[in-house]
Amino acid sequence: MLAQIETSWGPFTQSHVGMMLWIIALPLLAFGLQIFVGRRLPRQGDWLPTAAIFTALVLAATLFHRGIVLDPSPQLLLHSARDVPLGQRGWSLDWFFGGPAATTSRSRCCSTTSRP
Amino acid sequence: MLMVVTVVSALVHLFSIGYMKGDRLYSRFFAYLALFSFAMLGLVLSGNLLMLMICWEIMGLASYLLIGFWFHKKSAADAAKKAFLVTRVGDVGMLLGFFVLWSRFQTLDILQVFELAAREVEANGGHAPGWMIGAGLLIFLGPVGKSAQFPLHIWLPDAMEGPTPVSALIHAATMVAAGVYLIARLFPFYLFTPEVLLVIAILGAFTALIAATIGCTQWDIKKVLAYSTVSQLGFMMTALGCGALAAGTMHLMTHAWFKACLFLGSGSVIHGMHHHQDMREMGGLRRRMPVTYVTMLIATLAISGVPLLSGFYSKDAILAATLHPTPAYAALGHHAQGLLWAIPAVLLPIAAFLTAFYMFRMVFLTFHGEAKSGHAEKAHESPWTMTSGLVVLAVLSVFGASPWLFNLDLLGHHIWFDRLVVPMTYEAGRLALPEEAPEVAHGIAPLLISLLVAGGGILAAFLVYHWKRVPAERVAAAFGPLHRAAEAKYWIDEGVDRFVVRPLVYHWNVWMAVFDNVVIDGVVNGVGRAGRRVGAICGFVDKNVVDGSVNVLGFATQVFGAVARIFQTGFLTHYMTSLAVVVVIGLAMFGGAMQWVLIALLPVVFLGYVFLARRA
Repeated sequence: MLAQIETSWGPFTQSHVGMMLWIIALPLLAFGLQIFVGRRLPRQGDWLPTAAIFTALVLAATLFHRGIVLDPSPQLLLHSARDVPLGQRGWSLDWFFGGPAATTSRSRCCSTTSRP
Repeated sequence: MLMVVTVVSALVHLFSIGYMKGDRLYSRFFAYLALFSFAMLGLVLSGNLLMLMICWEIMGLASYLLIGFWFHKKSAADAAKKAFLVTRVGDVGMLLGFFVLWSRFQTLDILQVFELAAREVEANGGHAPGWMIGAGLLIFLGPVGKSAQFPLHIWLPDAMEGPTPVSALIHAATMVAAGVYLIARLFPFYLFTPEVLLVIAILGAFTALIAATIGCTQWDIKKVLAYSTVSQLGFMMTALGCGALAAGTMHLMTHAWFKACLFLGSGSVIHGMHHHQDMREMGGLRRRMPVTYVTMLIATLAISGVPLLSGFYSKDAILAATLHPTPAYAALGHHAQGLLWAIPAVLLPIAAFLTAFYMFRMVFLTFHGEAKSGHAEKAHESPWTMTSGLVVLAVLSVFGASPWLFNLDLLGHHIWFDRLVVPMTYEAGRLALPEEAPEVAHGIAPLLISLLVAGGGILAAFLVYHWKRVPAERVAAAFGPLHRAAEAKYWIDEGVDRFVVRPLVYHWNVWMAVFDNVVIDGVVNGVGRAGRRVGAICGFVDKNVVDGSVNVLGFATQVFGAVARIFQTGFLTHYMTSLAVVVVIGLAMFGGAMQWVLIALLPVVFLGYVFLARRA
């Protein structure tokens, strides 16, 4: 199972998938902190969302480099190269939420989003 | 897309530090920016339509908060409401489209939808069933609203009431791009429904032209950019409608760079002009704001389609796609559908010409000539926190998509972007990568058209606004009614107000009055009537049951007292007689041991009787 998971992410490792989670989580965390305690922070907290989005930018650039520049093989760039078990229907939760559903639901890089 | 969103968002955050400094709600502004960024990134990264829809709606909320950030201004508050409501109209259609997909496929996973759609088409003899076409059209309504396509484009120019960084973030790279992104994301699905692609292409081309003509007549610098955005989104939609996924998404990316640069540049101008936005009050700013001028000029050259800049390649690819609209799904067996496919090929070059014209008009009116107001004379360059973002975006406007940076192919025959976004075809029972990428269509004809329209537009702007060989008034007069219509934005706002908003409000008020009279008043009256009924029942019960019980009890007591008085004669003999009667009855009733007890008591009773009699 583990081997299957590792190979199903194509050029991405688990740490890359973690990066994707952080790309979403950082602005959300920044929003939560800024809305509640932003006024009490130095410079009214303007640095907090700015730092969060710049960090997300660095992570996105890392993914872009890994998934597109280093390994631009066509099947990784294909929009629907993922092996989807078609018999499996129902609400599909993304890796977005983590958990076991996540590990089986993504395999290849999407060309439009540059994500697995 | 992830890179585009994070880059523009990061630069907008940086720009906002300078632009929003001193604002009363400075802290909250950054919170809203972060919320918006989260929603957009979530939308990009979501792999199923449910998550996509959730992020889509969060983004709608964040845009509402950002557009109406200066809510103390009525115009800003109205613009926020307008943006929210107009985009919701499209969202309802999109949601219905998702429901259709869910009802047929029982999944909202995007890639499963592609596979199942492919099977559906295969089972239907190679053609999409009607419900798939319907679903595609319904889903397209969401992008029509979000990406400001005709006739739901009316919210975007008004949304310029928000702070300028918001305009750059929402209207350059992210929110308006989300609609185009959604079509690109679902492109394999749309490949099965060429009828919908045709609608997308024609509507996109029409939007591009309409918005470009309006952009030529506006005086507010941000309004010009707003209509320019609407027009460029039309270009992207047309590209996708023509099956050119790479061209459409590449223009999405290049547009993000140069339009963000233009919006932030306009923000810098407005900042320097002490928040005056009318270009008729500007002029001569290039000497006072050199960094802003150079960066905006580069972005203007890019959006106009000047060769070797990023916009040239993407726009050229789109124009090429309109000339060859069907290669991407030729493998599906669909063919060009007659003259309808010619519409984008005719409309887009005109829109491209007008793009170059109105963008250089903006540059000349703003930066060239003499200062036309005191504010323009006192204008100053913005701080580095604002200009640094402009420089980065200007550099990206040059190199952002230039193929020669990667493989030195100056004519762009092998656009590196094509390698990133490869449209697939449906072959051998599954979606597959075509052996040869079909979109590389940069022939001489589209190249010449591209150069001709860009050069022509720039030349026309030079003649009218820089060299002033042809007075602008004469040009306006030459176009007469068309110019007046474009200046009035084709009365679309008024039309929507008259034929949609007012009837809607009228009928809403009528139905609300009916609802108020029938339902609300009915409920109140019903409750009142029910109260009266309950009161009547309670009165009846009180009067007849409670009072009746008390009266019966009193009457019974009276009767009992009357009966009891008969025996209360005051004569001992009567009492003793009574006692004897009771004893006899007792003896008769009980018998047994009790009988003997009673017999034993008889002497006591007799003696007592005698005693009492003697005393009496």
